[in-house]
Amino acid sequence: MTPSDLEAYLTTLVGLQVRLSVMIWGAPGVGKSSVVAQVARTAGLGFTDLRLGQLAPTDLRGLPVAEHGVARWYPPEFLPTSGAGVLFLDEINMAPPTLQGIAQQLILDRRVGSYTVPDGWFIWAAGNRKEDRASVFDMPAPLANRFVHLEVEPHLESFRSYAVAHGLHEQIVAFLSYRPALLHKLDAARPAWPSPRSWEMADTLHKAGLDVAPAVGPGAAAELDAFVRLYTELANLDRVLRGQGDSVAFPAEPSLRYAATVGLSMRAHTTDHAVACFRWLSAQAGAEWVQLFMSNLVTQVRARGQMGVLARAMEAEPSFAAFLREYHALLGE
Amino acid sequence: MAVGPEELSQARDAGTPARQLARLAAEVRTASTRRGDGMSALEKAVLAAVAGNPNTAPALLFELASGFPGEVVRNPAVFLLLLEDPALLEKIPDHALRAILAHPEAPVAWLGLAVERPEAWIRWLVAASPRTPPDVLARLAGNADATTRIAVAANPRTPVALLARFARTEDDAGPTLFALRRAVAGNPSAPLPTLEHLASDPTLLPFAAANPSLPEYLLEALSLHDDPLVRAALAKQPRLAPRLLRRLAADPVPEVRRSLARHATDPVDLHRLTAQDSTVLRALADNPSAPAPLLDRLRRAPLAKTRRAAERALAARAAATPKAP
Repeated sequence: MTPSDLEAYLTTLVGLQVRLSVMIWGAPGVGKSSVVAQVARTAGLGFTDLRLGQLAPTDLRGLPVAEHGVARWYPPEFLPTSGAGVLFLDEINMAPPTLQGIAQQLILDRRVGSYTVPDGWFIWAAGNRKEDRASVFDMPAPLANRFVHLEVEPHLESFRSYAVAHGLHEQIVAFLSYRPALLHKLDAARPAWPSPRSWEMADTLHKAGLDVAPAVGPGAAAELDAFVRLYTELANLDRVLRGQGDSVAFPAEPSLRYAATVGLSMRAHTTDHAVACFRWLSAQAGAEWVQLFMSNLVTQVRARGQMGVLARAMEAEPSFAAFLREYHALLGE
Repeated sequence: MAVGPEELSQARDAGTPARQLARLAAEVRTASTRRGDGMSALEKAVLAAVAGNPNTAPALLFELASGFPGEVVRNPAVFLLLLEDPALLEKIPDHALRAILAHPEAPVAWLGLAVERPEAWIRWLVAASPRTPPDVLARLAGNADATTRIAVAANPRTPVALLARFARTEDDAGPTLFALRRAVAGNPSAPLPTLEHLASDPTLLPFAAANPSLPEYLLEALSLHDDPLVRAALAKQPRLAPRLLRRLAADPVPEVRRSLARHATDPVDLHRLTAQDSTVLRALADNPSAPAPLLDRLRRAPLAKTRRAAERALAARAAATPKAP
């Protein structure tokens, strides 16, 4: 499932108060943790994120304290004791088998030692798959059998919606629209490689004017640099956006074509811009470039809640109906 | 979480972003599922508004299409979806595609592209749609699937030349041939020579007699036809001259009079029929054009089955009347 599908699924579980234990599988950096945090935040739930790979068994079980000659386990302060929320056991299969055994008690019995998970809390877990070269332990079959298993995959549309909603830099979104394969590309030989999570870090570096290679690796960083150089050289795009693009030619070089088309969709913040870009692309480029432009544009406009305005503007554009007829005929060929 | 007027207002707001609309839909569905007593009118109104909101994401639109097909096909942004994703029709779930193509306002472009899909049920839906363009129907006329060809023969948008060809085809046989010709006989776009040719077959004449494009002189002749099946079919005509109405209302065969009572559209004619013929009251209760006061009178008819039919008709109309949430 896509990250958007996962968000919808978890939201439904919360809405229906279905407290089955959920195990979310997916490649590192695909957005598992951020989706879970988002669902909890939206539902007004508490959120406790435990990275099991970084904990010792006593961190979960607590410490034994003598009380009237009897040793009692005092639970750690980070475990919830009241209210409602999501107890998220992240990186569960990076934890050694002893800790997974304790997690199993927490998941199965909703208690460990003298600690009991409050009724209002959901217990969800996440882990990486072996094929993603994560240092994971096999999940014991009895533990695996007690989970509902969900598998999440990287998905450009979901990332683009997230990026637009969270204000990621347009050049990064434009670049990934041009090179969707670099949204998630595990490189086992290097510590830094591109993933939705590392692109979010890269966004922070990029906005600060720093090299993004430490976040996404040198290969993706070099490609982004080359793309951004092209992107920033496309000064003529502003004339296109203003509806003065008659003398601006559509670039001949493929990467420039992508940069121009995606760049226009990222910069078209008003319906006037959108209509001006459509006119220029349909006159200068061709149906496939108009399609790429509209596809990128619609994702952003929908996330901003302006699709109605865009639809009205496109319907009012005299050349749009003719373009649509030709486009549909092309699709049918 | 309870769903209230605030949620309805958000769902209707053309400025509500896609993520918020998805949350609203999830809240409605979880709230009604938790209660287990079905959806309230307000909850249905919220989902309908989400289905009609231009910002709703395609995946959610398709989830809602079965329940709210009208809202989805009338969604102001639906014409942009194929531009956003050219492969959309290959990804859309079957239940959603069925609901959209079967709707009388199905997007024309979708119908034109859906015809490329290999599934017979999709081609049949396209062939049966009142929105399918003539050139697409012409492509479907030679389809190997008989039900698709029959739907093309019945579609008023099918080119006249094709209807004439269907009426005289010898390529099919048995039930398929009869169904094809029957479909043409009832097609309001069928040309007169084609209808006359089909009417020469006594088994097809009753279907041709109900064709709303028959000229006045033929209606006159058919009202005097020996076969009561033909006269009963004629009584289904939406616009009969008063002279013919009177003739059929006085027909000696009760089934002809009942057919008239079931299909007449003019309230004056219906009241006259009620007054003069107590054997048609049950059929009148089934007439979708029967005015409410007439149905109300039929609730007090002598026969219990007539009273029950009138009650059902009134209840169905009350249920179909939109209520303000």
